[in-house]
Amino acid sequence: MIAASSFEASPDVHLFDTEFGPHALLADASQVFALDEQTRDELARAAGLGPDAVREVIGLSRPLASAMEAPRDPPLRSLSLAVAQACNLGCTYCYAQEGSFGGKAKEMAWRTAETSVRRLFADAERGDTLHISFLGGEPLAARELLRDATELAVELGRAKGANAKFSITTNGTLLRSDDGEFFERHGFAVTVSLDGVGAVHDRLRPFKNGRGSYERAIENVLPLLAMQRRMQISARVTVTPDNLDLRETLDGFAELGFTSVGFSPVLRSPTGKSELRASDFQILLAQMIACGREFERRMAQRQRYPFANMHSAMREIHRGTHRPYPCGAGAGYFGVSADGDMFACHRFVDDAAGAMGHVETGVDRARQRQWLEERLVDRQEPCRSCWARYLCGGGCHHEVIARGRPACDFIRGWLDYCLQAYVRLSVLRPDYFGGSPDYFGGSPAEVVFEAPALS
Amino acid sequence: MDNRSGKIFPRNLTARAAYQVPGNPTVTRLEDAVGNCYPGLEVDVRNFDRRFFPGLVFEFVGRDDNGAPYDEPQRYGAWLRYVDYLFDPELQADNADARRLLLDIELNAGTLGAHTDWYLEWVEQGGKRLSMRLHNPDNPDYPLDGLYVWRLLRGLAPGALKIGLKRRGAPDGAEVVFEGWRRHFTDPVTGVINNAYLPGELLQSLCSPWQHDFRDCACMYWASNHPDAVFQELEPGEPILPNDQAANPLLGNLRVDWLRAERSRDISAEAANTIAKNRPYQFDHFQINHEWQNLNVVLHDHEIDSVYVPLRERHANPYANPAELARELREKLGPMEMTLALEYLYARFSLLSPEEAAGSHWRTMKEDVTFIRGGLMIIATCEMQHLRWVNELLWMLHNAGLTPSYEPVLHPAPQLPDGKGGWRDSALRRLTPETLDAFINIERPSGFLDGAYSRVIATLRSPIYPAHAIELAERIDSDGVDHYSRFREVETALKAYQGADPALPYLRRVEIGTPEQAAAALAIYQEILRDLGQGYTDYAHGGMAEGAPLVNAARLKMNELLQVGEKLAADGIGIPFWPQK
Repeated sequence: MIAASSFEASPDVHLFDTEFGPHALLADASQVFALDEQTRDELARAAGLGPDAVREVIGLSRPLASAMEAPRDPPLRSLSLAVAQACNLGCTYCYAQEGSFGGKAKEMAWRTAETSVRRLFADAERGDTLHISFLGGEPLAARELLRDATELAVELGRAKGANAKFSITTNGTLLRSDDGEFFERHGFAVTVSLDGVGAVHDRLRPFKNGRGSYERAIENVLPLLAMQRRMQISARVTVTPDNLDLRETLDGFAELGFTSVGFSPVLRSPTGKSELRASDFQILLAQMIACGREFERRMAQRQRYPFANMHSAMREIHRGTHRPYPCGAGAGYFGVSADGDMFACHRFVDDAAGAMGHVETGVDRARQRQWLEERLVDRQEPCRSCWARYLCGGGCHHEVIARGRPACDFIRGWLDYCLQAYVRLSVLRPDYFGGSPDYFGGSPAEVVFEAPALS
Repeated sequence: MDNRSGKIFPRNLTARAAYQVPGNPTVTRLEDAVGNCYPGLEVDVRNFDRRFFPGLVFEFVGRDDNGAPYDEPQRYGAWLRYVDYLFDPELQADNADARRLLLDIELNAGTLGAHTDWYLEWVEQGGKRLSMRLHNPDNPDYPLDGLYVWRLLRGLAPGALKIGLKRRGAPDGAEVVFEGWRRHFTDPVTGVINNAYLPGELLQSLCSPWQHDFRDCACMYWASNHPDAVFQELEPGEPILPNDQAANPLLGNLRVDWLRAERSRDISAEAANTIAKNRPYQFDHFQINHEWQNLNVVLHDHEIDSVYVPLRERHANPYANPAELARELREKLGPMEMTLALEYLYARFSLLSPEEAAGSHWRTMKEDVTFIRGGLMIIATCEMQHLRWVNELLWMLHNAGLTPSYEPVLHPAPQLPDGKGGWRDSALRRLTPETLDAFINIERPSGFLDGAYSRVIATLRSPIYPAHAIELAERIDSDGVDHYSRFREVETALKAYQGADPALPYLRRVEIGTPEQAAAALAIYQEILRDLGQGYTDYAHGGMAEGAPLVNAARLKMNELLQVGEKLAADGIGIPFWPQK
């Protein structure tokens, strides 16, 4: 069931109860306070009276986060390259429509890749960190181009004193051991799309001829798990109505040796097939919470549990994330199509709604300004009246533009649970939040890098 | 909406950054801080008492410290600094008491202002009069030190008060008496400080923690908690022992004064054994204001000036289980500690006493034997302590349910490691160069004992063992290096006697006696073993009260043994602590 408290009316504060007493989340800078009963009641009365009244109860004289304004011409920080707009799989829900984004299958030309990388580093300064993400389709279908582009980025980074970071999202079927060595050498964040263990995966992610792809993918990925030192391999599970048993999937992958497993629900697919419906979200929430409970149980016993959504939720709540957007799409991050067109992110490739220029000519700043103005979470409905807006950011632009916001109750329910779990963990395992890098499986913040919410 | 009574706790990082504590933190209150007087960290409360009586301002004159001679008694006490009747707000109040006292002081202002030797003679409150003099038949008319006067005035309650003032320069002159009240220093309701005090007045004479207080702070405050004697920083490339002490025994054992004014390495001198003796060579007040930043950080007893290199990690294999650990302690380490203690003690008896050495034509022999006997005694005592700790470890294992029983370990080992990978027979020997060599070898860092205790420590890290056991093992282990260094110092001291003729002039002609010859000493020795054995057994079974008298008795008998042993040794008889082949 979706928690009743997730229907809190106030856009400024969310009250929740824990074993350690009543608590409040302030929307402003996502501050979490423990309260006594009296203060909780006062806060409940002040909740509908605006942010000043809420702050006064806590004893805060001014907002902590600065007023939300769209950033003007933010510097370019990340690009994803759709190096191969083609795929050897035929997944039912793919936003890229089996890799080709609804058009003809195509591969990126070297000139386009080179121009993209050079554009990314053009204005880089010493100490900057720049990300390149290889996507498709299946990016390993363009292996040589991928490697050349990586090496060019390393070289440019070295010349400029900037850091180059890389990530790839792959279906795993084309992975070779020398890919593993290459990724390890360059510290790749490797995300492998795996939708379940065995038959579940096969049903959702078949080869184009209909045969299941699980065995091949796993056979290729397992040796890489053992190799990871600098690279970080995570499993990303796309959740559809057909694979809602999250606990089973998570435990299955944990047993195989994955140190990071993340779930992302399908809110929208080009054909409408495999999208989650309202009743599915309730099951999804219950499953996410079940995984979260297991995570808490293991943490209390000082064991690892590779539930990536929980790790990042705990990190974000602890640091008091206050995000004006759900991700960096269209701000510091763009998706580049095989033809070199720039889009707000990898999902908008070849979609006019997210067109943002071309790598030869650069970002279309006028379009970008308009995008950033429009997409600000404070300008979204019903986000403006939601307490969770600065933790959530308003939801994936691509999904929201196409389907609206069908999952808000799920998101609030999940965050409400995460807030309670945060309180429990911060009491029982304060060391978990004390900065030891170990807890995030060896390489904390870069598990999935900040800009694109890959899915 | 008042939320001040509420308990609010900021949990995540942004909440912690934003949360504003209502009101001033409690640490700003006068009663909160440590040492807020004499002098004071935030305020010096002596400054309140300067104005204890409305219209008058006193100064408490006393010696620099309690240890200073009482040589100017006529200056000591509460000296009237000035009369402040025009500005003291309590005298301007609109009530009869204030008007009467104001008039009284006005009338006497001329008299009081004409001389500078007015002192508080007595105070009277609630029918009791306190004199500001010490009445002593031998020392009539003995003014109290200003500090004592201040303490007496601290005891006055706010309210009605009568005081008497007198001139020290005219002891037979008339007293001036005022009837008034002891001031309320702070408002009883609001806590606001009385308006008589001028801005800055209460902040006079505060501590200066970064400067003078490194020198002179006598409170239990952090500035006083600095090291006295430390090892100097090791230069890069200096050969070192496993505990990071210099391998060169002179440098490794040279403790210097942390506050020393002369800081060049080449002429560093050993710190003397008292603060008073070191005082003339330390930074003086005028220097420390400029030099405090040259005082070094000290880690592990060593000054760190430029680069800190952390201690190296030591690795050792733990014993497989509690039984194996207990066997090692019982059968090897305990008996070895006991043998070492006895070998060192025997060697000490073999040295001339300082009195005997005084007659020698070797000019430094008296100092040398004093030094060596002292060193051997320290090490032998230390080994006895280790023996006790080995026993303690054993009974801790037993009490934790890890071993089935505890029996005291109080017997010597027949053999000891020779420090070269082999074994030698335990032997009671005079302190010849060969004996000293054997001592140095067994205490050599990274040798047998060292390695064995490293394994004990590695074993005790496991959570199945009692938490404090590891501390005992670590102390034993770290002592080993110290012993090695001390023996190396002894070696240096004895170099002067190489090739002496007759040889070994610092030694007595001691030979191992028969049990009959040493009967008195052996009887005490057996009593010591019996008392310790019973005492340890009591301790092991939780009988601290029963065991302690026995262990104390054993300690007293050790002193007895020392005296009897000395007499025997002077007659050339060594105590046969174990049967001789």
